[in-house]
Amino acid sequence: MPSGERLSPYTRAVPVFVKRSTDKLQALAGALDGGGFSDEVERIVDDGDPAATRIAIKANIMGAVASGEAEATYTDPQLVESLIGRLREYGFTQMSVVDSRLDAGESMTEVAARLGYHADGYELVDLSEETDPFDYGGVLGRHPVSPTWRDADIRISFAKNKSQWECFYSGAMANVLGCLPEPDKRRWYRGRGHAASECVRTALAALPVHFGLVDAWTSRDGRGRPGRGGKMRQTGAVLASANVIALDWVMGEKMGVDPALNPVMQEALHRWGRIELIRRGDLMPWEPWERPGPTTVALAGLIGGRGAWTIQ
Amino acid sequence: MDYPVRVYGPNVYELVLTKYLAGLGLLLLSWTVAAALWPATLAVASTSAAGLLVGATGAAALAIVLAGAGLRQNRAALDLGFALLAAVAVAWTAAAIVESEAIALVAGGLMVAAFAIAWILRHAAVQARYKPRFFSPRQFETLIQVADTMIDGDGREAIDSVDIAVRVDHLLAETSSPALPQIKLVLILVEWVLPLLVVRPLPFSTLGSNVRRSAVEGVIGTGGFLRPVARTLKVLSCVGYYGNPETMRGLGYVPFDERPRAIGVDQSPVHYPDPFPGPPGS
Repeated sequence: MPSGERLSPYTRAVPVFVKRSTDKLQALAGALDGGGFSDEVERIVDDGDPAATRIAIKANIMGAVASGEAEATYTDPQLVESLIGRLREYGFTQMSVVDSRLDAGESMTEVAARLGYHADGYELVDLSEETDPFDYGGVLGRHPVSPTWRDADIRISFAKNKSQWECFYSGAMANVLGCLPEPDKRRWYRGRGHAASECVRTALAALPVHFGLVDAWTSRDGRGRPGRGGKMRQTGAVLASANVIALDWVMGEKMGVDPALNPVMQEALHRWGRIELIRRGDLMPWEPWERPGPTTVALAGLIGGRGAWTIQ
Repeated sequence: MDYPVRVYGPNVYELVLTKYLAGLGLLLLSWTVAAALWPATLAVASTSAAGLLVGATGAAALAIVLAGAGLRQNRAALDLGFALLAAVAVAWTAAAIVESEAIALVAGGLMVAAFAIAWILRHAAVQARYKPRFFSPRQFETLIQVADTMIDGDGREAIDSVDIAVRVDHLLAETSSPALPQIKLVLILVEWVLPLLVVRPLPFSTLGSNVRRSAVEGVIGTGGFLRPVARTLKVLSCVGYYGNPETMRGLGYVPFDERPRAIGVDQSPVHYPDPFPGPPGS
């Protein structure tokens, strides 16, 4: 186990960096530098061999399926591959980009290939395809897990900057719902006793995410169902932090939403307690930005979505 | 915009319910005034019983307006408003059917619908706030008040009463025991019967802390069938409070595994041969 596992990544006061740029790869590089990515990687790997270190990057790929492949609803493949390029410079060779299926539809690898992921120097892994039993504890208890996500030494959540009608916005924490392998997410990860926010929190506690990124190069706002209504916004930024709770908090602030109202955030705060925020970079709110109101979120929470449901 | 981090802030259902109740209360109040001014047209009948119904509707409206001013702070008004609204909604509907009054029937139907929406929102609000796994939302709220009463640290408690209740709820959800339904029954008794011991015909969770403490002391002091209730309350509170790692740390308790003398100790379980390997008589 890497030494970094001993410290909970969710209780540390670490900076959240928002890098705005005219070039998306520069935005990513700036966010990684400002968010302390190198320090974090060094801390986790310690004296270990980078070539033997397994890295799993949970990109938001299947969010595209849930929103009918609308623009700006999935993590930009170029940004993910640029991140992989940077990791390769550190000497890492075992890298996977992961997500799980939605319903019984297409495999994640097919969707990823269509969206522009090339699997060049890294693997595309469908977390629903190969699973082992695992004791997550909490509301999930004994439940399948993909060995790729479970055995990763460094787990990275690379989310998309977008509104979400059940939790105001879908951040790096909600993105982790896609690490749970059951394709019928509505059945397994929604409802009394296993609300999506509880499932996300349980998954985050059992298999901690070491670094979070949000692709806000382009973003998707909107008040209603994912991918319906709303507009793609040229926000031109990338957000990064080693604490995904703090990262999601700043993401909400940029959207003009009180992050404490986000059910996933509420669950995380109840579990891990108050966080200390160190905000850095461009903290101006996105303008213009359409966000769902509390009534929409409450209604969506009561009635939910249909088919291909997810909050990522 | 920077938002302050609030761990126990309101959830979306509470926000929506607050606004909904504020609007509903004012609407009901307007209806009460209108029905009082034009009883022949709007009330069920021009009788004293119909007047009482209008009066009760006004009382429901006032309680709901008060509840809409702060759900958590005005819990008693919320309970009262819900009870009165349910009663007057049924009464308006039934009386309108008996008297064949179309306007009153529509009003009664709307009150029933308004009550149903409020109930759904309230249920969702409590569910979203605490996400109880074993207890019902109401029983969970009772347990919070029980923990608040039993763990009386005068502000020096290591953890909040909500945390105590959450721990108990999660532990019981993972437990399999024939006594589980009785634990739920105890909380129902505490909520609805215990306050009668101190002559307060109100739900336990709406009582103030001093009255709640008097009620619990009454149970502890009384023998007979209430003794198991007192014992259950004590066990639930202590398990939730002292079983919490944060409390343990606060009290200076170090788990065995973390003590210096435990390092290197073989703690693997010892397996003894079964003295009765076969079924008796085999």
